[in-house]
Amino acid sequence: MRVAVFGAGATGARVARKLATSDEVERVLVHDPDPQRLDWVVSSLGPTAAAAESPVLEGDADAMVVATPSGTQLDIARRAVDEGAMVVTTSDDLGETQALLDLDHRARSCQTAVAVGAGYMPGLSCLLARHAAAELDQVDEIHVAKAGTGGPACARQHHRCLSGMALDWRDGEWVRRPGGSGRELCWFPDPVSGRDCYRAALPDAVVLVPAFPGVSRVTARLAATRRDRFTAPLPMLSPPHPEGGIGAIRVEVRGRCGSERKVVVLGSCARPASAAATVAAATVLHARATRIEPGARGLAAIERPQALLASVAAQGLRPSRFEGFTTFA
Amino acid sequence: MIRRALVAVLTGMAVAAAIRLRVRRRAVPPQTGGWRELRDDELVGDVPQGGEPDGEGELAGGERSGTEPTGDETSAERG
Repeated sequence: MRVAVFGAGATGARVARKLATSDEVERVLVHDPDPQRLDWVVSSLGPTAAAAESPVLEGDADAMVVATPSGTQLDIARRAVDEGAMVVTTSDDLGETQALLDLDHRARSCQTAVAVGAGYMPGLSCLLARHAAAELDQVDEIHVAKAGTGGPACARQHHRCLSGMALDWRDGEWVRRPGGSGRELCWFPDPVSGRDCYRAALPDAVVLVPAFPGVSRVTARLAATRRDRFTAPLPMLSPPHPEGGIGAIRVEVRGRCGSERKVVVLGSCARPASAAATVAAATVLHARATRIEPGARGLAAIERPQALLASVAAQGLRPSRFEGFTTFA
Repeated sequence: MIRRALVAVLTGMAVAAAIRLRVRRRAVPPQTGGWRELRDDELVGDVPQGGEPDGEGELAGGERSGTEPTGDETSAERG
């Protein structure tokens, strides 16, 4: 299989590295607008990898991973779909995710698939939601939260989405709420532990709702400090760090098992860029192995999600389960 | 005059810091459980994609496992 990776940043470079070391991938083409960074990344990947000068790769790749900054992935994905290549996107921009899901009809007509939001959150969070839902007869609510950022583009997106409007699914309809509202203390796996989380313009609800028919509430929150919230409407006052520290996600699924109400809480703790790369690379190989159906969808609606989660866990991104008071009368 | 202003500012800062410390200590409840990594046997095997509605009414919101709301709404009200 030949795979093209767009973006050689904190996530893209790691995706390329993981794919270049896979036996199933014979060629990895990497494209990045920064030629110096592109040379540096490609030279570190070995003979399997090569630099792609043009962002348009007509017929050169069977699959494409789009790991450019959020907000710049739609055009690349659209071109890839038109070329009939399978596409894996990592965007966590709300508007862009909605537009990527809207490629569903186009992808079906081109007989190709688009895996939307194959990163840490959304991405692994969708797989965890699906895993948790398997323990329930009926899913009523899904609440996800994230702490930490990956590379500079991820930090900028974190800053932007705190000042945007959050989109939640509540009682069968979409509800917009201001970002930075709805403070809630969420417990993540150690060492991240408890963090105050707020609403933000996150795409998780638009990815999860189509995958769980009948769900009544889906919300997403983002860990932030008072300074993050206060400065969210302003431009970033200092340049973002090259790579964030340890981050975490938390997925809480509520529903019914028989006559009993049950709450399943799953989470993960990792460097967000590294985790996103693991999920994106595993999704490419999984899509190839399972020959997923044409269309655009999130990972919660992908075929054999448990196998994909097991593959991700086998690469070191092992999910955790919260064990506390899990059932309520 | 300057000395009085300086003393007032320093006193105010000390009081604010004390209040913030106290609020922070009171606001963070203990976690009511712990995390453990999923075992291999919990990860293997595909399951049918669940979440289909069974036609029954919506259940009331319950408490939140391992999480205590500290902000501007209760667990049942959030959304």
